[in-house]
This record gives sequence, C-alpha cells and structure tokens, in this order.
Amino acid sequence: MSVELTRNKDTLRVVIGAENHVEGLNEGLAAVRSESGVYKVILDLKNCLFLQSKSLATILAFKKEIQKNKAELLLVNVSEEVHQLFEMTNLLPLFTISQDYTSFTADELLEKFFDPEEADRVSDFIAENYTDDIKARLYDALAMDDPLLKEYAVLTIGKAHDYDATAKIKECLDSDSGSVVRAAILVLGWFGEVSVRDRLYEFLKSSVSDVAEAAAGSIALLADDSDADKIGILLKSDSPRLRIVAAQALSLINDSQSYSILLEHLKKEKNEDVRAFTVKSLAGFNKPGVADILLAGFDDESIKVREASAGGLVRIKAKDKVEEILKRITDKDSWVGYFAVKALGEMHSEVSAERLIEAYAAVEENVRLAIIEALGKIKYDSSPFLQGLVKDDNEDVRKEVLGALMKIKPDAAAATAEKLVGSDESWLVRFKAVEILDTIKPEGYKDVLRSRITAEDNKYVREKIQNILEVL
Amino acid sequence: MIQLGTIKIKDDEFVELKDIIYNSSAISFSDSKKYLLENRLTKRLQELNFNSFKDYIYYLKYNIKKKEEMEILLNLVTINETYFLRERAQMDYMIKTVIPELQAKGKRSIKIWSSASSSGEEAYSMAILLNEAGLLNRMNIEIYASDINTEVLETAKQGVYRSVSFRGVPQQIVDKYFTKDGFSFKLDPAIASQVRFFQGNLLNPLVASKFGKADIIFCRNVLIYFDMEAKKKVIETFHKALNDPGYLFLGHSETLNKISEKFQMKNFGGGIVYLK
Repeated sequence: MSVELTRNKDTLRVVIGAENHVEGLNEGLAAVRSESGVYKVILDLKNCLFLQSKSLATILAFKKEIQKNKAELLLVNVSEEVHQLFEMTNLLPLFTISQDYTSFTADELLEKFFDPEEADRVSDFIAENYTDDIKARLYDALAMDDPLLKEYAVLTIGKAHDYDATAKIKECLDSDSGSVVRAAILVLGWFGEVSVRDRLYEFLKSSVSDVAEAAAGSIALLADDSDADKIGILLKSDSPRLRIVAAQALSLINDSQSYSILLEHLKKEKNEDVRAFTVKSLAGFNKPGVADILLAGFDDESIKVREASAGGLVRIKAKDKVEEILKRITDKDSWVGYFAVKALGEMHSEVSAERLIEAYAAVEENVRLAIIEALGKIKYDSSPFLQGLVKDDNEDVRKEVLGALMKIKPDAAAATAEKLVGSDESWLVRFKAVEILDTIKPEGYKDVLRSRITAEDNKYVREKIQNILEVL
Repeated sequence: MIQLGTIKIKDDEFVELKDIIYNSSAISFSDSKKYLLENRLTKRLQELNFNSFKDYIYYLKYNIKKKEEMEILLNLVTINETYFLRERAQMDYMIKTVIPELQAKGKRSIKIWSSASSSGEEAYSMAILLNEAGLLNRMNIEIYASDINTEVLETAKQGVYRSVSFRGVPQQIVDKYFTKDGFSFKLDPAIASQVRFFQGNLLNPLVASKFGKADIIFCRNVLIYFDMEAKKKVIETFHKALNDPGYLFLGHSETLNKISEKFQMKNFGGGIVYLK
C-alpha cells in the first residue's frame, strides 16, 4: 500500500507507505485536492527512511495546495536522513516538523523502546493513550528477559497509573537489572505503595547511583513522620555518596524535622561536595532562616559551597537581604558574583539597579552579562546605560543588551534590532535581533528581514528569517 | 540528583549550543533533537546551580576551566547506547568470510578498528566471537577501538556492564565471558586485554595514526549524527586508513550514497559491506 488516508473532522492524516513514495505522495495530494473542509493535513513519513528528490517536489506541491486553502501542513515522524535531505535542500524553514505516534501499532511503539532517543517520548505517548491492547503488551514485556523492554514497560505502566500492575511491579524489585529495579522503585513511589517503603531503604545503599537516587525520591514520596530521623542516621555514614543521597531525600521530604537535621549536619560536614549539596538542599526549604544560611555560605572556604549558596539565593528571592547580596557581586570568584547579580535580578529590586550599573566596570565579563540581564528585570530606566553598550566589543554584551531593552523599552529594542540585524558582525547578535523583531513586530519589520535575507551568510539566521517569512 | 523536570532550552540558546557542539565534534542536532539536549544536560546544569541554558553557555565561554567543561559537555551529548552482539550478522560475516578472504590473499596479521566504540560492546563482541571461532589464538588479530567520549572509554576499559548491554545475548555467552556482581557484569580479563582503546575524534584526519592502517573498519550508527560535509570527511579518513583490500561496515540504516564513490558496495545477505 503506497498511502493510507484517515479523516478526523477537519484533519486529514496521510501516511505514506514504505514503497513507491512518489506514488503515495501523489495519491495523498489528490486526496487533499478532492476533500473539502480540511484545515489541517498531517503528512506522516514514518515509513520513509529515505526520500528521492522527486518526492520533495510533491511535498512542496502539498504545501502550496494546502496554503491555497489556508490550511496547515504538519510533517510528522521524519527520519534523520529525510530531515537532512530537507536541510541540504534548504526546505527546512518551510515546514513544521514534529513527532507523532498516532499511526503506530502497539508493536511498532514497543519497538521504539529500543531507541534511546525516542524511548521516553514513546513511553509518554503510550501512557497518555493507554488501551487494553497496549496494557496486555506491556504486561507481556514485564514477563520477558529483555531489561530495556522491561524497564520501559514498568515506567510506562507507572505513568499510566495502572494500579492493577502493582504486584507485578513489586516483583521487579528483585530483578537482576539495575535499570528495572530503579524503574520499579520510581513507580512504586508514584503509586504511593507504602508497603515497600522499608525495603526501599536497602536500595539507598546501592552502588548504582541511579538506584540509590530513585530510592531517595520514592522514600520521600512515601514518608511519614518517622522517616526524616531514619534517613538522618545515614548522614553519619562514611560514604560521601550515601550522605548526598540522604541529604537529597531529606530535601524531598521537606518537613521541619528534615530541615533541622540538615541544618545540624551542615555544621559538622567536612567534605566540600556533601557540604555544597547540603546547602543546595537547604535552599529548597521555605523557612525564614534559609537566606542567612546561604549568606553565611558566601564565607565558606570552598568555592563549590560558595557557588551553591549564591545559586540558592537566586531561587529564594530574599528581598530583605539586598544590601548583603550587593556586597557579593564583586566576589573574588566571578561565578559567586554572577549568581549574586542574578539573585538581585530575580528580586526586581529598584535599589540595586544603580548599584549594579556602578559596579559594571569593576567586574568580570560574565558578571557584566548577568548585570545586563538583571537590569532587564528591574523596573528602572536603565536604557541610556544599556544603549551605551550597543557597540561593545563583546558579542554577548550586545546580545544581552537587546534582550534587556526588549523587556524595559520594547520600542528602543526594536529600533536597535533593526540596525543590528543588518550591521552586526556577530551572527548571535543578528539572530537575537531577528527574534526581537519577530516578537515585537514593528511596522515594516518583514521588509527589513526580506532585505537582509540575501546578504545573510549564517545558516541559523537565514533559516530563522525564512521561517518567519515562509520563503525559500 | 533526581531530575525534577528538565530545564527548557530557548531557540537562541539552542542554536548557539548546537553550534558550539558542532564546532567541536561535527555532530549536528536538528530542531527535533532539542529535547535530547534538555534531557542530557539538565542534570549537569543543576549540578552547576544554573537554571537556564544561557547560564551554561556563558559558563562554557567564560569559565576558567572551560576546556574541561567542554569535555564534559561532549561526553554528555555523544553517549551512543549500544549492546553486545548488536547487528551480529556483520560480525559473523567478518569472521566467516572477510577474514578467510584476507588470509587467502596472504595476510598474516589483521587489524580491526571499531571507530566509534562507545563503551566497548562492539569491540569486545568481536573479540568474543573471534575467540568462539578459535581465531584469536590461531592468527595475529589486533582490535583497536576509539571514541570521542572519554567517559564511555573509561567504562570500556573497566569492562564492567549493566544488564541492558546484553539485549538478546545468548546466556551461555554471558556465563562464559562475564562474572556477575550485584547489578554488574565484569568481562573476562583475557578478552578485555584483546582490545586497545584510545580517544579519537573521527573528524581528525589523523585519528587512525595510533595504529597505522586497518583491514576492517566498523562505524555503525554514527554517521547519522553528522551533516553531509562531516560524513564526507569521515569516510575519506576511513578510505585512507584502510589497507587495500579493506572492508567498511556501517549501520543498517546508513549508506555511502552521495557521500563517497570510492567504495564498492556488496550485499552479503545479512547486510552491506563496503570494499576498498
């Protein structure tokens, strides 16, 4: 069969067969022409590992025909080879391409579990479209020896919330395969299966880090008031890896007892990796003392701990600590300064804008970029300062300026973008300028892009413009 | 750390990051592979306390240890999962037909190159099958294996695998060549010692200089990640690295069509081999 056609309301799905692609495409095209009321055509190329150039001409004819009817064309399941053919022939910007497993049989779907690049997406798709047929196939897979098939069967059953399979999933805890055990631990956590909670503690000590981390997550999901103390004991282990897993589990449990245990542990922990992880874990608690703990972390001798502390501040928005954080933007470790600036940006504090501008000249390049980004988030007219940086030597500075202006003064951003799209030597800046024009859509922006397209020598920028203008 | 959702990559971040990766490895990520970068890199971003890909790009550009980070990035994005005895028909053909042909032409020693070896399953599979065929002791066969990814090469050198590496492998092979320890399987050191691993980027024309010339090259399921220009370069490198006669095995879905006319294609029933 060279083509399979399915109509669902105003959508026509055209699945091209494995052979005679040109014939299949022509039949599909004839159907598009003859069917009325079609507003979306899904051209499914799942059977086309390769395409001849003749086929491309027919796909272009599809596009034209569909455009005539003001309908939408979507290409789905395009193989890597065919994708590259579109790229080589510069056709890529003309098409919307996505992955869609609707036309796949249960066997074809399960086969995709063996493709590491697709397995997760297929699993999500199956879980969202769970049928008795697929359920039976997944149960069969659980009984097979193949660890990969079994792992994804377990995960998919879990995502589909198929509680009927609980007993089968529990059996998977005894599997020889670490991946299968990890999947079973995760799913039993999702299912709230408290009967396995005590058993999960033994997996915390697993030498396979995926298994230990999964156990930490599931214990947290299944935890009652006693678990924080039980896990706290593991913080006394000689193994730094196990202490990190324990800190992670306490962070996920996220109750007051877990907080107290972590706080006490931080005072004693000597290993910098575990200390940094403990700081990061504490930043996940919504407690009044967290900001002070993180600020204290700035004075730690370990760069890892200082960066973890500064990074944590970005998350918690400690608005009453602006002054203390401002002092850190010139830290000797520029990444501490970087995070400190980002934290200020997240707080949108007007107080900090002028101070950031003042500090700009004295800090390193990465901190400067963070300052520009932060100014875009603060309600303060920093546009004169930003526009003074439009000719900076660093392309990232110019790009950040466009992004920041876009947030505080869109008109100025559009005008700057119009200039830079045709004159900046950096493709990164030109790409950003095109993005900004496409977002703001100032009058005549398409003409600006049209006049740029022939001179543009960077493929990413050119494709972006082609995509916006829908031209070759 | 458990990945609680992935960090999403914005369009401008994606093009910049894919450009960085392309310039270092020639691996090209199409737009449809955005999610792959998100999945593979989110954990690293979280380790570094970042919450956006822009932060990470700046880290790659402005960090004092940017060279080390570049290696970590390439290790994370070039993981090519594989398993023992994958597409076995090609290896059987090599043992039953190619090696006897080379012997008949007077070859006394044979060099085989697993050019994108990942964690070593392909190269060790060859060693196992050559041993099963009794060729390892009878002939001078050298197996070289390379990959761009330093982390998978470490795994390969250790010879310790998880059960997912044994998809469809007969149990008697697992029992004969591996020792089970918890969730791990340790390869017999006698087989492990047959393979010499080295780090190599296929885009480097001198990548084969570690061993001189090979008689047989395996490069399976890798070309698919390269654009046309890079594919041509790699195949040209293989052509130069092969003795005459030489044999090149590609993945089932890969072809030299429009890439090189210097090889002669031969369909042997179980797959394709390209002859120099």
